[in-house]
Amino acid sequence: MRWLRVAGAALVPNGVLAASSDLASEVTRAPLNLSAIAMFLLFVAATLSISFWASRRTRTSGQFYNAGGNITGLQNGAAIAGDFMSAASFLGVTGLMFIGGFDGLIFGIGAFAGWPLLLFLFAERIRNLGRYTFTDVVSMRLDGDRTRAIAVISTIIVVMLYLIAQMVGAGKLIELLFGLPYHVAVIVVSVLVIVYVAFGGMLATTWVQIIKAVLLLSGATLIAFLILLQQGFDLGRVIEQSVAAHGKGEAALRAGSMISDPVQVACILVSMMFGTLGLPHILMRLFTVPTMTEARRSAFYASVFVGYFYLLMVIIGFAAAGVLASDTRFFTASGGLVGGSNMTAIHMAQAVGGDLLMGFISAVAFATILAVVAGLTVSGAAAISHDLYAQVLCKGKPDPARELLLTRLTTLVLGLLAIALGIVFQHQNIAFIATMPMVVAASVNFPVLLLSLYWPGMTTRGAVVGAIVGLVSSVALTVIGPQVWVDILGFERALFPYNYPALFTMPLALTVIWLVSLGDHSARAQIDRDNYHRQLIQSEFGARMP
Amino acid sequence: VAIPEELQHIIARRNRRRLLFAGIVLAFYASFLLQYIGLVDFFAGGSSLLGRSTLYFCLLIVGFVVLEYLYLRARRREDGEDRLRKDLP
Repeated sequence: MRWLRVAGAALVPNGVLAASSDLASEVTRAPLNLSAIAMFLLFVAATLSISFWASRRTRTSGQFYNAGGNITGLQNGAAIAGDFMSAASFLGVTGLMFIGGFDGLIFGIGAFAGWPLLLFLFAERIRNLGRYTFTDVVSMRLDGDRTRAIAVISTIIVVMLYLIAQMVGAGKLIELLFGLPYHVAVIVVSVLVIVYVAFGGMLATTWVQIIKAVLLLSGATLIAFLILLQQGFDLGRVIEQSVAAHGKGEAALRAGSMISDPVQVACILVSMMFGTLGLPHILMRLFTVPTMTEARRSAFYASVFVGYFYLLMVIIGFAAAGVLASDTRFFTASGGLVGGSNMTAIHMAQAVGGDLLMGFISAVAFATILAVVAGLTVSGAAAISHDLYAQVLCKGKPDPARELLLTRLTTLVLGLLAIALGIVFQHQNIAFIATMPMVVAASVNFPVLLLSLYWPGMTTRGAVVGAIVGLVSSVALTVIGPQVWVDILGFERALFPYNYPALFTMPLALTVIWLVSLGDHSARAQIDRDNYHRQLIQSEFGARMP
Repeated sequence: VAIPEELQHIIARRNRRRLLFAGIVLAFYASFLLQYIGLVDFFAGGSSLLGRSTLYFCLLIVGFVVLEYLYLRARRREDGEDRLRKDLP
């Protein structure tokens, strides 16, 4: 049974690329894929033209951060989906389903379920309160300097970890798909992103993400359509073939085929859902629309696109076993999938659509990485130039030209840093780096944001102490968990048994914020509480009270 | 800062709805875990071609999108309320 010999985990989905043994280890470089490169060059030409167009409309730092606030709800929803649906979502989920069947979908539901909560709890209020970053929101009624400082640290940690995971994953993946050397791939990704972001800011990033979302959804739709077409649109036959070919048989259709511990599943579900709600580059997109009505629409359309994407994954993921098993081209002599399980979707494209579709899907995977890295770079640049420089150092009164210059310089530095980190971490097992941003976002950003919006009693001291506890505990538990303690440090047994500790660290952060705020009787605490009603009115009606 | 009573009612109503919809999502999201606990036989059985677990996954996605649509519709009916901002002190 070749299925039992398919090795390794897959990409960690949800935008965090590459925690796999497949990508963390050496990959076999593919022969130069000319059709994929040609299609990718087309994408690059189109997006560079957009960047040029956008650069003429990005004259101020405000336009850089939020695209002038003129994006429509539908456009923003597509851009959010494009920012969120990474190569890891596409390649990782199909790879996980190929290996473990139904359990691959845990990451799918985890990645999706945050969107309804974003609409119900956050979209309107965040849009009405903030200008450019989620830090604007959490610092509104609290002591700006202290809360901004901690929010900037958290943002930078999330962005940098996310970036490392993306860059290492990008290098390995592009080496695999296009036959380009790792270093060249990392440099190409970074240079393109620097050009998009430095010149076109959020406007160019938005359109890169929209185009990528359309391409990704089109590609996945086409693969699913061709799978069904080959079987006369009989989904039953598709599933029957897969069950027959899959090493796990019918068990592949049921829960527990790969992960049987319910606490581990709960850890993943909590990290994915609440991590999504705390991702700074996703929250930042809510400020690119003109009204809170458009912000609501943004969240809804993002849900529709992401939900549709995961429904396609059900067809593609389950069909993979049946489609690929009968074709020896896709397997190595030892029975493993050529290129590892992350190549499942690419092989599926070749199996049902030939070299042309495979080239298209490979180009989409590359475009996907660019769009996600561009979103991260804008968010990181805004944290430094807006939150830290303009608001903390210049007390909200920066020189506009200097701020814009700093924003572009930060973009350049982040791009260069991404190249350096991508090369430094090339041979490392980056599984924990891929996990940590979601856990940190769920344990630091989400609790502070939720309570600042919905609990009048939260004080600056409570927010800062809770955020620090959330940050330290999430990093510490990840380090003593299996991914670092056992897989990297080589200990026999992990001190903490779960890989996604947000199930424990998020409630801990919420509790600490609550307890410290209750015990805070300082003069600043009274101001924080008194400010709540002003903030509430503005968050609901968009109007400032005197 | 005193908030006019009418606005307080509006905010309270909106918050109740937000919590209701968020609670529904969280409850159904948590129910996904039931299949791993083994206390519920529902997910193991069935002769459907996709298996009940997978059907439930699809149902959750479609259901959440429908919930969002209902929420949007409910909020759209209230758009006029935002004009009340002129009544702010």
